[in-house]
Amino acid sequence: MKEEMLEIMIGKYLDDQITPGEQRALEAELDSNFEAKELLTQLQDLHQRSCELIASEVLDHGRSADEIFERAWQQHKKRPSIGIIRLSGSLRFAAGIAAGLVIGLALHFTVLTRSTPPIIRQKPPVVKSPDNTTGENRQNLPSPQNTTRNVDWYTFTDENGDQWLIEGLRENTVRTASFQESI
Amino acid sequence: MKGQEEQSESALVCAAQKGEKEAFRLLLMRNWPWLKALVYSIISNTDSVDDVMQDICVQVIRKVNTLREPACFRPWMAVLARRQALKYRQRKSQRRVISLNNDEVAGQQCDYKAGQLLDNLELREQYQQVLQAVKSLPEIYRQVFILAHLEDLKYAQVAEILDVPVTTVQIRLVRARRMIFNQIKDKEKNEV
Repeated sequence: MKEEMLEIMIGKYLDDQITPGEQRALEAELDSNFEAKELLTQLQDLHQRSCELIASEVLDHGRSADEIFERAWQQHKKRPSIGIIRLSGSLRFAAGIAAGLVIGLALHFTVLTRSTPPIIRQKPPVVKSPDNTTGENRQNLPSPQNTTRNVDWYTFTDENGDQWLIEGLRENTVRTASFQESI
Repeated sequence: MKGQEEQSESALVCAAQKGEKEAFRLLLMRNWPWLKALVYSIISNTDSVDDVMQDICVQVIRKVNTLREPACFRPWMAVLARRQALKYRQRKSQRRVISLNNDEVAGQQCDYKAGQLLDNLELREQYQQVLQAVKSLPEIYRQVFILAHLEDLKYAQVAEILDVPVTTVQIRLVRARRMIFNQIKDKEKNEV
């Protein structure tokens, strides 16, 4: 029998947890091995001393269990009770969804109201002719070469039956128009 | 028998969850020896064990409602006790209250024990040697050794308390015994 296995067997024997089969094996080993017998005697002595020592240190020392419990109970009673709402699984789920919805809506409105640019309310100027424009009706608009903004194009037929191509910016402003005979 | 015991313990846990004081008392009294041994194995100081035990009682009373399975009361309480003991030990080490070294503490405790148990000086020295050897064990071995040497505590119960397999308990116990045995032998040799 290996040394560690022998010590396990002796340990089980000392702790009174050895099975009948293991006990037979241990007895056979002890009969044939003098050192094992000596080890058993020494460990038996150590076991007995350890049991007495631990019982003395742990159980025979300090205040009684009842006294400690009473103090703990009083300490617990003195503590102000804090109301904690306990939610079951489905309620917790619903509460989570509701909270998420509220937070989402709040964020949505906050972000949208801050990021939307103010709408420019501007009356579109009336352009009669590309060559015959008057200072009153015409605004100083940026030149088409320098702009890179997205535009919409509209066609317009005047009283004479001429067709005009009108460039309309999406931000409610009107740019210079050009007359095209071909349209 | 064990099943009946578990069942009654579960019933006590349910009663305790309803706030019955007597149920708390019975639960704690039933588990008191191993609980105290576990705390002692962590803090290694008999004078402070009572304070930690009181903290554990308070925690059990306050938190028993968080226990979902009453059958798991022992492992749950063991975790709680271990946490409280470690917290206490950490607090102590931070405050540096303990100025005595282990040898002096062991000597004082043996003085107490000697007065109670022994008159023989030689035997007293032997007990002191064992106590010092137990205290010098690594924590995992010390826990197993102390719990296993308490009355009526089987390997399976130690395994349940420490949340380890039974074979681990056996191996740790053998190694702890061997370490204590070697330490005592070495001391004896040095003295000779």
